[in-house]
Amino acid sequence: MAVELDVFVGNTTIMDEEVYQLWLDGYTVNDAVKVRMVSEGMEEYEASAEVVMSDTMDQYRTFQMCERLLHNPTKLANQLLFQIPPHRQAMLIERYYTFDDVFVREVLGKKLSKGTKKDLDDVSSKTGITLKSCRRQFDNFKRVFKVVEELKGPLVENIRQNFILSDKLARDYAAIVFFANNRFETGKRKLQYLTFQDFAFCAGQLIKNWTVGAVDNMVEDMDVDLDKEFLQDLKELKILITDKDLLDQHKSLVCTALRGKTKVYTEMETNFKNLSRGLVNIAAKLTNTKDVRDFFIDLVEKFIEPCRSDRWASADMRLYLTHYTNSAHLLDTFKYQVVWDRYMGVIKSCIFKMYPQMSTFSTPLSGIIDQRFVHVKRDFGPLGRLSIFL
Amino acid sequence: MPGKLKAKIVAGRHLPVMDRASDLTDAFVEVKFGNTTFKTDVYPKCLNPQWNSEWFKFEVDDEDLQDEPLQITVLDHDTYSANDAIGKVYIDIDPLLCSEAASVISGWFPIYDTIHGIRGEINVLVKVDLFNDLNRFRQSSCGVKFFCTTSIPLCYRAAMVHGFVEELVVNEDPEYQWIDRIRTPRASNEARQRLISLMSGELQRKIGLKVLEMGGNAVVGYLQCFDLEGESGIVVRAIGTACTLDKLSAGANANAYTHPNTAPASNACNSPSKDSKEPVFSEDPPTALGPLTPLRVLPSSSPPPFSSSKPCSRQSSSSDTDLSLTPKMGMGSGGSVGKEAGPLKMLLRQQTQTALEQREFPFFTLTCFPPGFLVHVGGVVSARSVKLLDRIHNPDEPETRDAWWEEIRQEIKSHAKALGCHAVVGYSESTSICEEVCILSAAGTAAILNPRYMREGCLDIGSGDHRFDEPSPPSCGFCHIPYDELNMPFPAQLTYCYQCRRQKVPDVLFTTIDLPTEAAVSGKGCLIQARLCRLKKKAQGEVNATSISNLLPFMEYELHTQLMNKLKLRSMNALFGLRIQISIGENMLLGLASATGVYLSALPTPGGIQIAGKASGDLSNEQHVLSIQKRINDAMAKNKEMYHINPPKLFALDPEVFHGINMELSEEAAGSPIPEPKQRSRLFRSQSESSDELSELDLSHGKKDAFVLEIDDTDAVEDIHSLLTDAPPPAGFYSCNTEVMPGVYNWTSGLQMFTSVRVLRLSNANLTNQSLNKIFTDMCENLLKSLYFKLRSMIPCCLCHVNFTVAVPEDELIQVAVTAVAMSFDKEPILEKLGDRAVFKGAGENEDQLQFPMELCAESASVAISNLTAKFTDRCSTWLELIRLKAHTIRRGSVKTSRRTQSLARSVSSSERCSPLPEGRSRSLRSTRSSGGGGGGTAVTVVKMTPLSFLPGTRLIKYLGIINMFFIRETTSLREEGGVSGFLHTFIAEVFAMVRAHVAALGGNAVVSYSMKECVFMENPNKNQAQCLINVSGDAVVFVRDTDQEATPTLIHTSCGGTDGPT
Repeated sequence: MAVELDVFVGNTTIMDEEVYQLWLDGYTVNDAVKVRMVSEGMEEYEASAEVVMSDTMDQYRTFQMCERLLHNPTKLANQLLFQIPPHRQAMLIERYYTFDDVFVREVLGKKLSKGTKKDLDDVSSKTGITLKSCRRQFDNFKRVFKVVEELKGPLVENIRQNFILSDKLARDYAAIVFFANNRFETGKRKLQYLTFQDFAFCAGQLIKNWTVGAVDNMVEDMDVDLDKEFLQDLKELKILITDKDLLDQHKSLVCTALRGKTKVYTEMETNFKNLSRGLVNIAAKLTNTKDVRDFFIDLVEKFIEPCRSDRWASADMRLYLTHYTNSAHLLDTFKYQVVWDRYMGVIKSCIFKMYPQMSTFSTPLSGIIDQRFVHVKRDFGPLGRLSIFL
Repeated sequence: MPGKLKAKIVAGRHLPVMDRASDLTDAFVEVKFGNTTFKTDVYPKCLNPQWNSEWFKFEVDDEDLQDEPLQITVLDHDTYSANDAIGKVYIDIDPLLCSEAASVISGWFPIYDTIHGIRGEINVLVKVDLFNDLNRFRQSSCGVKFFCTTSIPLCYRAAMVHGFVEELVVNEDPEYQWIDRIRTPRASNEARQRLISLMSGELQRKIGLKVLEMGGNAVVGYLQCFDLEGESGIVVRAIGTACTLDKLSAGANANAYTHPNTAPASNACNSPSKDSKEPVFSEDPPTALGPLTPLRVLPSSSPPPFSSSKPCSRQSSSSDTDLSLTPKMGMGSGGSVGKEAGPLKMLLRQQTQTALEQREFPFFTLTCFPPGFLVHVGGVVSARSVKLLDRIHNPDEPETRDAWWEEIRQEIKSHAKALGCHAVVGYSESTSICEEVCILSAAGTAAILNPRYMREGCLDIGSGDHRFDEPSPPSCGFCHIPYDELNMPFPAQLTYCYQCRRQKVPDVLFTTIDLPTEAAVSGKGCLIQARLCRLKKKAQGEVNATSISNLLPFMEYELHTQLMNKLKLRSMNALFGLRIQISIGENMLLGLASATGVYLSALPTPGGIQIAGKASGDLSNEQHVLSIQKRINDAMAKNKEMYHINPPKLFALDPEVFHGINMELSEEAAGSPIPEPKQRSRLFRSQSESSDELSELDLSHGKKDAFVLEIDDTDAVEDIHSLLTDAPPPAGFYSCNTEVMPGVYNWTSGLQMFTSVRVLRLSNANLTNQSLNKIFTDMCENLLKSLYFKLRSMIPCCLCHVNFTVAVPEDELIQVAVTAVAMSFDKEPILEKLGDRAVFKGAGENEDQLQFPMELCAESASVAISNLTAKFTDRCSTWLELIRLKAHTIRRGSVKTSRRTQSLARSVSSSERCSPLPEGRSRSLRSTRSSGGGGGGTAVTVVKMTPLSFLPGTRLIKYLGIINMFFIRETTSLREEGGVSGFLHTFIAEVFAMVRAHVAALGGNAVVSYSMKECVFMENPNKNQAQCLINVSGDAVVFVRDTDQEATPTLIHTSCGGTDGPT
């Protein structure tokens, strides 16, 4: 006695959000049934494994049939095959494109190529996310990348319109595309403590201030490529460290402003030249693609680590950077104020974001990684198990 | 030359990639009608082509217009090789031929290929210009309206019911022609689809002609079926009920739009007609006598004499063309029949005067009638006949098939006579074919119809009542036996009716119709199924046919017994919507009977089921019997509670009162949530009067003869087991196979139509009847369980019109397909309505609203105290609670504003909620409701589908025509498409999509009376192949929400057309 065929088709397509999540998470039908059987509320319906199995199979089939449309979300709204109420469509798309921060951390800045895709099984075993789910997320990145690569106009807006995503998710995708395009190195051990959201914030800053789009908003790739002219101009900042007078002047201005305001004043004074050199050198080297890739590593090595080893609190660091930036304006012989502001504005906010918090200050970096990388099981929200029909 | 068909190809979208090199497509379109073909230009290298073609014009006979579909083929241009077909769209242009329906077809249609399924969409515009044709000998029947709905369509009034129409056409099946050996599967499928489309067009035209001959203008309850007889060909046959329908003008009584089930029929009377009809009938102008050609009677498009009556001026402009062209009688004056329609009416009366006796078959495919139409119901009549198929030699003279059906119908007629009835209602026909053996079945309900309606042929109850001033027949009337008590056709226990005490009623009543709206019912109904498998030896030809026909009576008997047992177990006494299906396979027969059980207050309380053991005094056996008896008694008690069956003792004793209350309650549901004070007081008065009469009534009828089941053989044991294995639906669910669940009225607009198909492979070769029965029963039960689980978010909800079809597609396969609609309902209707109402009403009116409960509060308290069982229906109890609540608030004297009342009502309702998911449910309900109105906002019009004839919470304002579609899908890559389930899942979704697209293109937003008539699935997993045929039908309609203002209809319509129009 075998059920040869078993289908259920509703005029309004029935989709259970819980099953959808299980499907997205890459559970097999059998595993999904196991999860569902123990989930709450099932006893209420006296659902036997058979019934849940049949339902799960149906839902999985529906999702598979829908997947083709989800690859091109604008189609979902005007296709005729499935009658899905608009708010459900939005949910389907948003969930489909939602990714795991742990996963994206692994591929952030990597080339979205076949090679990377082949390594996904390693990522899968490392993160505990199923390979199926990893592949979906990776393909999503790649798809978004391909579509917006050639488009004019603001990146976030393009992503939002072509994939009908929420603003937040569109911004995250913009960050992923931006990182993939510039191939920023994020996988080094020293950067492990940073979350995807930290990087996404930095990407937002870079896109907003350093790309071509920051000056001209109607060119191709405007938000994806860094402004070459600006990078060229950054070389001029070198004067801040090469010119001995300027360096001393800068230092004294900063020290005057900081004196008495911080516990780590001595350390700041001693380290000033070192830190300044670090930051300006990063700026000067950004014309090389290789150095662009190492941007975040450099920030950590050249600035964050020295400060941390001197036990600066983040308030100290903020104070220092603010005065460091502002004092440059007081230097008479320093003419590159605009470039300086454009550079330091981003550097400041990136470092603020990347600087480890006070509470975790005393613990070694590896400890921070563990804390931040706890995989939070997704919450289904109040409407969790309810499928809504029109 | 009476018609010009115009088509314009606007654009395509989401086309498939046909050129692998460029990943693009060079698409063009062929538009074909009859033998004429037009082509668009090639739109190169684009997946979203904008052809924006000229208007392609076809000048054709209206006969062709009715028969032929417009065929649109999308192709990929190829310079060097043959053009590749992307897919096709068939558009049935019949709706355009009826001026009342759609005027233009415009929208996105899925491009369908029988091998690849839906491949993109195409935007098409189609129009028809009809010319006048006064040729009386014409072969076309344009303008005759067809409805699948088996009741009088909601925005019409039946001026006349003419009776039964039937027709069948036959042809060779292209799949079995010699040419099929050399052509591709695609070509074969397309030939078949086209042929069937042609045949059903032809059939519809022929039926239309018959209707015109009878003087009607519409077919209601149109039921069309295909018999794929394999080698011997295809038979397309249809039956229906010819009627003369008048469109109710938009301004007419709003109640007329609402379905009797949601709003039990109040007297939908048009007062002008009362005045105008009477004199006309007495006049008898001799000049009007002549051939009964409707066209003759409709020469005047000039304003009728009664120009003062409102509808005339409104309609004269709109109906000019169709009056002269199409045979719609009396529609020139809408609801009020003018003088010029008088003679016609008279003529028709003469024609129908001879009433039913003269008609060959006094059959009606309707299942739902206006109150008073049905006088008595005798019971189910059915006939089956086993035939050996032979090749149809001459397709133009399908005499054999005609003769077969004729035979069966005669039998039905004689059965009805035996029951003392002159008519058969709820009539339907079906077949089951396996190889060359075919079972023809027909079933209906023998009935006596009101002679008054028959004489006049008029279903317009409202005006009838007024004219004759007769007391309307008692609501229990239909239960009374029509046959002679001393000469009963079958053994039955008769008792005096529990309502009127005047007439005899049987102990149980089986019918194929819907529950009459006026019927008094206790508690809720439930779906009852009897399932049966019988093994049969494989055989050929006549031997096979004989063995099948020998098995049939036993199967019928067993199914009947099962139904009876299950009915008793649920403490119910009547079945409605009974449908018995018997399917043949090579080595077995399947029988499935479905019906909705109810407790009719007019019929006696069913006795218990008593188990009798073997005569031998075996102790263990006796114990066994006892334990079974206990289980059965428990199950009965549980069922009584679950279905709220509280045989209303008090009411049963005084039928007048019960009747009165029940009617008033149902009226309440109709429109105003709060009845007029006058009615209300009448209600209570009659109750108080009843107490005096109590003593006089005959109380002796309490003794019931228990139904005895003897356990003396294995069969009986099996029976009892099958009785007890039926699991009740989970809490919050009800199910029925009729239009709506008796006892549930307060539907919300949340609904979900679905189709579910299961195929089971019997692995075990040597099965016994018993084990097979168990497998089949479990299969049906599990399917139901799955449905309940899937639809759990709609609780509280009712599965309505649950329609099971079984088939034995292959040797060891059993296929069960279900189509039904899940509709959610509110538990506290009145409280909520009150809230809504209070919000909308001004403060001034509020005073009034609060006034009457004040007057009543004393009485209502006494009602509660006198223990007048506030439980006999849910509605009653909530209603009483409302009164109590109101009285309460007034005594406090604090409630002055509407807001307060509302909040109070709300708080009570939320505290009383007992559904398992109170909060979540209400939230999801609300969101459903708010989003449901949408459709204009998105690019795709939301199209609702339901097998019922109405949509709760809405008014149907227009019928756009019948949807009757036939699709074939085949695959040679079954595994790649997700196996058989994946294949069928996609196909059913595609069929839904195509139905929705056609409805939207007609300007509609729903399909009512939807049904999947055929779902033939064949597979060959070894060859990685599968094929499926699906036939669906329904009525495309435009609905507006009840809450919408009067202006919205036009708005909705334009928005529907607009969103789908060319961009």
